[in-house]
Amino acid sequence: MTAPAPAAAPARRTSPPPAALLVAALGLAVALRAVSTPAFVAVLAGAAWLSGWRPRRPAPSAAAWGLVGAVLLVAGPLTRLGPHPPGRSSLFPWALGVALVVGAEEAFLRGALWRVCVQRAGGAVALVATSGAFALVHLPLYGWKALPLDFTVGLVLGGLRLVSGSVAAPALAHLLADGAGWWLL
Amino acid sequence: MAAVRRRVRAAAVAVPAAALLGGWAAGVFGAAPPVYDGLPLSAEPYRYLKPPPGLATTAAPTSAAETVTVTGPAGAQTVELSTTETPPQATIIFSTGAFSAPSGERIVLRIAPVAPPAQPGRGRIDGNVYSFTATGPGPGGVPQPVGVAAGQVITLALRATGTPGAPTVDRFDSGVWRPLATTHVPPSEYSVSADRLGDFALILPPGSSGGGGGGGALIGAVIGGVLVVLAAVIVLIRRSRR
Repeated sequence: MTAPAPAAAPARRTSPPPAALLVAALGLAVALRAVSTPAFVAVLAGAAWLSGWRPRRPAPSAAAWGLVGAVLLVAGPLTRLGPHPPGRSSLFPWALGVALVVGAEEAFLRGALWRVCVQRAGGAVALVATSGAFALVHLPLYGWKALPLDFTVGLVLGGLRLVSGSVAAPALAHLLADGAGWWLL
Repeated sequence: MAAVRRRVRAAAVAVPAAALLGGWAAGVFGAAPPVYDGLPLSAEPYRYLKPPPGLATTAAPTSAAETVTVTGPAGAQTVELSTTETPPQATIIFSTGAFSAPSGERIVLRIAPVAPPAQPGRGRIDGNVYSFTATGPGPGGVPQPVGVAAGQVITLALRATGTPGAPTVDRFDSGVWRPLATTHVPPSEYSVSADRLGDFALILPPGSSGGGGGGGALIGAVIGGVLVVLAAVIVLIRRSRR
């Protein structure tokens, strides 16, 4: 009759709690950001999946919120378009790469990490924590000067997550804003 | 209660959105375009014409050239010419109507890494000096320099090596390096509008560290390491509570 207890205990001991898994994955992703984009994507997407997060069918309003968010994210620079610095060689591979990065970031930040934060501390903490994490993953590429902008953008994307109840809204806004970079940069 | 929740959620979008737009309007976020993801998706190590002391020899930096036909303002086209590194280390973007040459004349635009004509008075050169030139057929077919027409500007961009610091694009002008109004295009490009061609370089301010780039990777490694340690602490605390 006592057999089940010893069998269950090692399993609890060896599997890390989602919070630790996600923090470790975030650290690994930040370390890899300026080194390898594919590895960065793999770490974020893999951690989101391992934490148990799964995408769900979004509400119809998510698309509308996503469009609103995209307009917000590019509105400022659109008013001050300057000279057009270097373009890139080919739109399709660039767009595919950006989509994979966006998908992995959103699955991890506004999906898995958001869920764990909400469960443990509520929506306000989730909003701030995921915005901070969003700023951190961009730090290796864009430096400290971009931190206020990226944190604020993280708050906007988190707000979209909160108001729409879905990862789809921030993911769409994020994807469209990044895509606009092809023409804005 | 539901109405309050709706208001709170609407505020969760409205307040950050106001902060974002206000920050842009106030210039807090700078003039850089919005880049929320890694561009470029891959980057090869910077190629030095002459690597700094202590840095391994790199592949040779590339040059670029293109022949274009000068046009008048009507029918002018925008042309982009870059060196072939990934991403390019030097780029020029110009209108075919921006040069002081007769319409219909064929001119050659060239970008080439060159030895520094002089060191800057303060700070130091980050990466290579690039010579941007335009030449047209002079009298007797002898090539002669073509300048930028009055009132016209061309856009130049240089890629930084990754050394921490905030470089400016400088033009070598009358024997000294002169900084131009520089826009940082994340992650590693710096662009200027210039009314003349010549020798251009990124100049790092005094006190910038390093010599070979990798600043972003170092920042990432340090912050990433801290987060991994934090994760380990979380695991240890949870185990000690059981």
